[in-house]
Amino acid sequence: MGQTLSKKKDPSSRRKQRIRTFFSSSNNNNNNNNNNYNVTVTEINQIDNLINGGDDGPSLVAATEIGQSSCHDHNGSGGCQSGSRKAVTITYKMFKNVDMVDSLCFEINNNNNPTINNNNDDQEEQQQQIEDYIYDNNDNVLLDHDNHHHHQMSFSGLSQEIQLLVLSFLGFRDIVSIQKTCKYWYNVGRDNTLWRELIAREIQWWANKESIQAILNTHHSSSSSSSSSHKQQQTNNIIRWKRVYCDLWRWRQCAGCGKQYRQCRNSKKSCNVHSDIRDIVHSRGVPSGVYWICCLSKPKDAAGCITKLHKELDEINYPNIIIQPSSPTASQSIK
Amino acid sequence: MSTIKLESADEKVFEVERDIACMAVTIKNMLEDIGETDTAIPLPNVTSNILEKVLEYCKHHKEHPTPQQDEKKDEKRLDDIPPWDREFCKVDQPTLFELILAANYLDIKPLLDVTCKTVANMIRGKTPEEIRKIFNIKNDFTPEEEEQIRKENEWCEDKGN
Repeated sequence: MGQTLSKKKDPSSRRKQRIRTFFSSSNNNNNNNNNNYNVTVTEINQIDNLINGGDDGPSLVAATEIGQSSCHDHNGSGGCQSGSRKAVTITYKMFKNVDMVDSLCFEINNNNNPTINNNNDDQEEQQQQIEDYIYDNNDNVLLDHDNHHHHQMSFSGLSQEIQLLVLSFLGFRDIVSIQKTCKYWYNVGRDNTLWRELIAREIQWWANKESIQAILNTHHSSSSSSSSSHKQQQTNNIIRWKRVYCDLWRWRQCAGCGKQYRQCRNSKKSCNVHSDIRDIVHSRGVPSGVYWICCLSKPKDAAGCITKLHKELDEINYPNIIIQPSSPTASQSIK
Repeated sequence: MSTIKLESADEKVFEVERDIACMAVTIKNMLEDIGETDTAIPLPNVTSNILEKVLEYCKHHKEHPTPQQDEKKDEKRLDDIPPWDREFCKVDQPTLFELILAANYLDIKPLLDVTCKTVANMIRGKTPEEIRKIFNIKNDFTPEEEEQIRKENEWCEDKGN
């Protein structure tokens, strides 16, 4: 497919097109009419020459330098002011952004084997869109009026303080989702305060506020290492709150009733057990079922009369407290 | 009613009522420091189009004060953005981020909250891939790293929100 394309068009013009598309595509994604990632025709040529000239490493460095110089010095480089059409400058930040350079690398590497913009008409249309975008009806360049803020206009470009403020409105799932997008956001989302605040915020919805608060307090005063269940989270007195959070939410198995539970949903009335179980057998020796002796012979599916906190015991994986029915000693008692 | 002058980064001067301008704590503090003045207060971090929006917000909220709800408790809720504010935040991403920066610089907490909530709402309920598309983020994880992250969250994978 790529081969047919390259026959139709001069490869270098296609390459230039791609450079241009690459820059403008970052605009379109931002839905923005006065964006900044545009390149001049001259700059495209320059970049193209560099890319074409050597291997990717040094070329990119050079291309980056073009970007930098043209941003800082409008008149000095890149012919911003000259030609029949003025053009908008490359933003310095644009090149500084490693991700962008990476994708540029990607584009370049795929130069001989194009996978995007296969359709000629699409390409034409896209070209037109770019032209429309860069130049207004009078062929004037739509220059950005507030150059100072270019570098801050993406979510990733905001200060971390603000990014964390945004994340503070989100819950576990959404924070994890954004953590999964890229390395940068993974690290932003790891912020310890963020998770501590999330726990503090969610605590009001949780069943056993008191005991969780106690856990938090234990963590807070890092000197007391008495909390054995959370000891593993305390390495060098740094509490990893995300870990604590996950630990509060993970499924546990109750050693008392055998049910699954989560620590944050665990309350003093969660675990219901009986103390005494009997098999009651009718006169002809037909077992009618298992009854709880401890609470006046209620059927065996009645809720336990003793309520307490679920408790996890590591050594017991599947505690079966429902004793096998029809044990011979129990059946004798009624007769 | 006394007015003061504010000058944006691109040197446009806005004349606004003092009360409205003072919703921005930064301006309020400045005015307290310098006292009565006729000269325009320079705001080098805010451009005119953003300042105009910010002042629109302040004006609206001066005229339509939001009833004080039970504070603290619902501070982090995302579904309580008033309709006017929601409309106000229907702008393109760069404008929204500039509003955030301006609100942060001028110290207008309700505006900062509502704009940040708007961004948070863009993230809420989305998959990582969808978030990447929205904010133009490039995935730079190796499959091994993705697996590590999956493991890290394993305990909570099946949890609700």
